[in-house]
Amino acid sequence: MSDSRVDQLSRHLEIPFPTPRLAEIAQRALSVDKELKGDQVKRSISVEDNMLKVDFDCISVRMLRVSTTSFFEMLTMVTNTMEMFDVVE
Amino acid sequence: MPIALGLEGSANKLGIGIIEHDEKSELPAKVLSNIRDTYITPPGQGFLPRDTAQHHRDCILEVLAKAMKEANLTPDDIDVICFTKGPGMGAPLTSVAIVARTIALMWNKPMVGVNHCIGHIEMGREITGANNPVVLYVSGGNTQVIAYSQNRYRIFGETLDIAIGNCLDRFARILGLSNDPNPGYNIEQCAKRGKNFVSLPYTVKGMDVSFSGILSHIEMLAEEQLKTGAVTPEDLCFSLQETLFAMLVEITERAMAHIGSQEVLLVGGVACNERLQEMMGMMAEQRNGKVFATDERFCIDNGIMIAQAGLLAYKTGYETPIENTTCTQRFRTDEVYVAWRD
Repeated sequence: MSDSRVDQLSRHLEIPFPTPRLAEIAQRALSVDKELKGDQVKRSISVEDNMLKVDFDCISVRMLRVSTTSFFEMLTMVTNTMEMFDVVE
Repeated sequence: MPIALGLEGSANKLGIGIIEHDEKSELPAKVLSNIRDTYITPPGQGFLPRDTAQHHRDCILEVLAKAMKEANLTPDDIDVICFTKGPGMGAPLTSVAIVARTIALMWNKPMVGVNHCIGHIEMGREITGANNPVVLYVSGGNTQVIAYSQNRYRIFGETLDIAIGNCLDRFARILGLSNDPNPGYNIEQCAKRGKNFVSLPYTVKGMDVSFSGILSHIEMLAEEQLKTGAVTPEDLCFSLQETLFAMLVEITERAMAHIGSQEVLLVGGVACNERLQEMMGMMAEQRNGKVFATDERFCIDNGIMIAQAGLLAYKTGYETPIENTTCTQRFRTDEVYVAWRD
């Protein structure tokens, strides 16, 4: 029963990046900070080609909202940094 | 010639600086740029973690662009990216660390996580040339008397409750003083016009100090006696400074006597206070010692001090792998192994 509850409160996000390299950088930069409430939120970040894939599993709607909001704040910081400071290799 | 870029954002200041050391570490370090943007709250209000983090996120890229431009460097020229690992407020620290990680990965540079307090100490030593001083680290979040011994900065005494800067900031809020450029500065100016000394509790406990009781006491005085005109805000600012600084001078002097040092180095935001520098100077003079202090560019939180401490560690071969570049709100000064000193 608890399993089905968790399933209902999960979210899958896909964020496209210009190149696989930038997608991987985002994944590595964002994966470092663990969720503050690890017992209430499971978050996994992976990369496939130029796509950043993020999965959230939360025990409550509130935690899902908090977790995704803070993830988007950090993601925006990463993409803005990339736009301004990437070097052409 | 190694060059380090440092990012700092553990409290309400967002700072980015770039520093260069010469090959043999003989010449003084060269400050290539040192840019800061301070989050200033309205009078009567402190800075909260969430809003402070938002401020940092809003201005960090602009500050980074300015720092690179002023130093006239391209990413290629930079050897290492240093960031504040802690101590400090979690959300602001993390907001800065995420940018540090992103540029380190894009530019393919190693990273070094720096203890904020060590940053203050190393920058103070570099700027003033103090060799082996007793360090008084006084700021909005920390109050510590520190001396170096066997590869650690050891804490000889510290506050048992709130930091001295926190005590001053909160009293400024009670008086409704401006937070621009910072509340401590405005208390200092107000204190200069104080005429009468109001007796306050004096709480030195061995090598430690306590400020929260003094704050409660002066809050009560302000509430009861300002409206009757028995005391003025100027008198209270003056009396608060005199009392707090006398306590700091006492424990600093005891640390000097204990380790046999003739030097005092003042670092942290409160170290800018000229009255504190003066009182410490009088004590040092009686002991034939000397006080070293820096100006607001290096006292108040900045990026260059993070670059300085990070570069010292980097030159000994220290790096922080990307997966360990987390931040931590609690990170004591004596946890850091100081490999760069004998």
